[in-house]
Amino acid sequence: MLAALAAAAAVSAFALGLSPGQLLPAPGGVELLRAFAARAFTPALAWESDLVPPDAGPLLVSVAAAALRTVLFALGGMSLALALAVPLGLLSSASFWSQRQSGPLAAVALGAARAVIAGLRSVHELLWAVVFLAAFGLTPLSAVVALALPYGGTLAKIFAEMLDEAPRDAGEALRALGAAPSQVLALGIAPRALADMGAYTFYRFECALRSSAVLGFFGFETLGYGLRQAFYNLAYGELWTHLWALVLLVVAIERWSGALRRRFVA
Amino acid sequence: MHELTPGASAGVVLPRRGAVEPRGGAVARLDGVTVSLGGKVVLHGLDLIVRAGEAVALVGPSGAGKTTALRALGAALAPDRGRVWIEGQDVLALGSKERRRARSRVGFVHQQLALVPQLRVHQNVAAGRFGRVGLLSSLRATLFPSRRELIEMHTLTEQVGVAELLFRRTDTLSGGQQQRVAIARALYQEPVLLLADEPVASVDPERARAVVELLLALCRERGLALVVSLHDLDLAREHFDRLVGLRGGHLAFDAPAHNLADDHFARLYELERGDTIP
Ligand SMILES: Nc1ncnc2c1ncn2[C@@H]1O[C@H](COP(=O)(O)OP(=O)(O)OP(=O)(O)O)[C@@H](O)[C@H]1O
Ligand SMILES: [Mg+2]
Repeated sequence: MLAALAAAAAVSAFALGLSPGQLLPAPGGVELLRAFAARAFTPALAWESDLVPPDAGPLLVSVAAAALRTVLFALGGMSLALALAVPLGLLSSASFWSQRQSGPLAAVALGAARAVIAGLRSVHELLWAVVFLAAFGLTPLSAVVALALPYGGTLAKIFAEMLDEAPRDAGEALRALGAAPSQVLALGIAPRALADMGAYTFYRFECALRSSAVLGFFGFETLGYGLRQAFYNLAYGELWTHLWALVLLVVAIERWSGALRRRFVA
Repeated sequence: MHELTPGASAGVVLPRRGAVEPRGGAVARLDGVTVSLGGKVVLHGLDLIVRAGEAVALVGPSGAGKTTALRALGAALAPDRGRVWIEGQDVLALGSKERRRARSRVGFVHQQLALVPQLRVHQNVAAGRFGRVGLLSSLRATLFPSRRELIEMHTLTEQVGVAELLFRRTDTLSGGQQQRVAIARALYQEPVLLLADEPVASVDPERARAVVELLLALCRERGLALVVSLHDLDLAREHFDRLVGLRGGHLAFDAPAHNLADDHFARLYELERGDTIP
């Protein structure tokens, strides 16, 4: 196992032409890294660059607005992703179909659902964003749909796995006392996976926040937008202001999900 | 049925599927039921009749097929051969809706209890009625139980001794308390027959006696038939009029307790060559 990993590493290093020397930054790069690192704990509280248009509001207001939009894009993407993931996850779970008559139709539907999920997942949200930018232009909907498709696919896949791994004894007992397949699934099996599904959804929401920020590089006005501007303007203080805002967002979401979990699971 | 039946009767001529049950008075009945699980025959043409209001103990060594026989009685599995009757209906010939209804007439207290640990006690009890209603009604009863339903469930849980736990999360209960919740769920079905699989497997001897006595009392006052699988022979002989012995998927005996000598039990439990000890 370890030998195989080492061999794979060696092959890819050779194929990509990697060498340890490349770990040393170029001469100008050292300067840049030092300037960047120097501002880590002294982020800008007001605009520092001369290139910012004079009519721009205060930096902190602009960052807060970008942070809010980052959350809104992530929320929109996640809501749509959940709307996709619940039916897709059901259709691609063995427990859903095993409750019903298994026939050729069931096998086809299961296969189709799994293929759709694989398709959604295999394209990264940034690539979807490129596609939708070309198709719909720079509208918020492009960003939300770009987030929703791969996230929906991933959530669906994990939801299906969680459903299929949930203990079956209670569901079997419900079936034995006369419950219909839908009742067995909804009230005997799903409750056993629900806490895990919720926790996973929150984790994906965190990921969605980061993706939503990065979508700013394409021109959507999330944290990534200001971050890119600051970088081009060599305004590292401003850059760190945006980065810290993102860190705060992620920590806040983590806190919130932890509190919810303690309230509902414990 | 009040004489010794040596082994299972083979070669019974069965009526056409969906026919009227041959003999009345039974709440549930197995007719030449053969079941195989994982490619192995677990029940060999088992015949068993459970009459209204009677209490039967199902005894036999591990792997004899007691759980499988109980599941067959509750129409919870599809036999390879044979017929399962519940309240005079040939269950396997019924459509899915009627079959659900037939199943809902048989309460089952599983060995592993099979409650949903994440739900509240009242939500697990409410599941007893799922055989009679659709998805939406069962969701409603789970999430928004009516006052009337709660009162009814409170009365039931009071009778099994866990009323004060009605709103607790089920996984915060002890094993013994969860067992009582499982009994309450089965009674909430308003069944004609209660099946209990090893209800004393995980409690100490004193509690074991109490659980068996509770089951007997609950069924007697409701006029329910009761079939309990038991490892403890003394408990079975002491409390039940009728004992059914299973061995290797065959009926070893089916007789009143006072007709059975120690010899019958010794033979039931002795290890055969080639028997595996689980
Ligand atoms: N799902 C299954 N797949 C394969 N074999 C099974 C399955 N369930 C039960 N068996 C086998 O069927 C036989 C009878 O099982 P059953 O559970 O009915 O016995 P039991 O009398 O209830 O035993 P115990 O007293 O240990 O509970 C056993 O040999 C068991 O190994
Ligand atoms: Mg058993």
